[in-house]
Amino acid sequence: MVSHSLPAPDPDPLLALRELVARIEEGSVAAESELVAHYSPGLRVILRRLTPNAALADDLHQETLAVVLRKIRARELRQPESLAGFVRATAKNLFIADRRKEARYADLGEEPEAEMDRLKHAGEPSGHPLHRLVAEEEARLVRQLLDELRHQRDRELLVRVYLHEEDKESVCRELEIDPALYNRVLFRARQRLRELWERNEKRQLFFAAAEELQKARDDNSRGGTLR
Amino acid sequence: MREEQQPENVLETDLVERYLQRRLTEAEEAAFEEYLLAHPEAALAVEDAERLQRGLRRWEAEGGALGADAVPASWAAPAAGPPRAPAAAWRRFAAPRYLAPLAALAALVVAAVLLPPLLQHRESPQPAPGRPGPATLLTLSPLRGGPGQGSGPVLTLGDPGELLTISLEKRRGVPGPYRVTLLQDGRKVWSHEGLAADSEGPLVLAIEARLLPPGRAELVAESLVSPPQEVGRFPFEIERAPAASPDGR
Repeated sequence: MVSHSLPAPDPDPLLALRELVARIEEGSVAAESELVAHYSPGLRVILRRLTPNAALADDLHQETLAVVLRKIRARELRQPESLAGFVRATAKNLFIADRRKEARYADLGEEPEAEMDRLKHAGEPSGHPLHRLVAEEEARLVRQLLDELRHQRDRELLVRVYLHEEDKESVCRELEIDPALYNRVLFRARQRLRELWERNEKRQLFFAAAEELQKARDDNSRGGTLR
Repeated sequence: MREEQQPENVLETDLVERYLQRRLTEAEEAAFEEYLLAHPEAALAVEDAERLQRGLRRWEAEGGALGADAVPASWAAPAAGPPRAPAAAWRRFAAPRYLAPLAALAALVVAAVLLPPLLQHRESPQPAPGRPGPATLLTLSPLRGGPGQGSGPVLTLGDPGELLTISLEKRRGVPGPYRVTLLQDGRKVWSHEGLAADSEGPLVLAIEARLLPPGRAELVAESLVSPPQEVGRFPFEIERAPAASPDGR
């Protein structure tokens, strides 16, 4: 199996990281916001992997960052360069603690109402209307992406990798493609989907804003207040 | 130590997909997750891959297909050549439309005829050369030992294209959907999620023999309801019958 080593930390980001931690230790709220904004995307990925329950993942996301910030404020983070590892370990520990709590409730035969709600909706990400809309939109964009691909081979590659979860070696062998081409197709597919998704979001924001503006104009013309 | 790579190059590898497929070792996964935390753009790439995966699943559920001319010959017919990739073969038979009737068939056969011998984990009959044998039914329970004394039953397989129906007597009372993972020497060989089964009954799989490599292995069944939990671990051993000689002896 080919493994990829990750790049060694760049000195400048490390310096920025130490400065960020120092600012949080001194009480900077802006620095705390920067930390939250920077680590949230990666943290959400990790938590989605731990649990399919979106509500639980959201709770753990908040708890993790709260614990991390508390530790930094108390000057208990000795090595700022290990902040990413600390965030990861905190997320996992909180998840394990949550599982133990659930197991205790299950043993007692008692379920707090909130836990019952979680169990009811666990594994049902499409239950909420908003989730259904998002899922439909995702599927539509993926269909568009597939239609845009020039080569049938590329479509087949995406289906094998993402749908059937086949490994790189067998896909390259069966499709008779070079590993570099394999990487390229996947990278471009992800990039293109990101473009389509962001374009779609901007379009939705544009139409939502236009609708608001029109509504405000209608209110104004009827004597309402234009905000 | 490999040469340094810029973050953009990392995203141009298949590391994201291997992470999504859970093909990284524990150490690789830890390193990659720390990298994701420190590099939000990498986390966005994972998000893009997850979105692509969800979209493709929905596309398939809505009847999406690549078209007959895009399906390689090895998918369309039982292959005499190199074995099909595990996940592709798996999905042919793990789709709900196959599992429900196979589960019903398995239940009828067990109740009417095969229950006593199945309790002893019989081996599969060897199909006559040139003729496909009957689908083999194997019941695995985490509580039972077998000829392997804790390593589970020993199953001798002949034809790699032979269809096996495996009934996993999982822990009751834990709802699905479920995930089943095949482990060999502690490493994941393949995994499949989204399997449906009654919480009080067994989890029935229908897979081709080629998906079970020779040697000791373990099927791990997990419920994906929060929090995800294991509902059974089923060791077994696979032996391959020697190939029949051309004259059938």
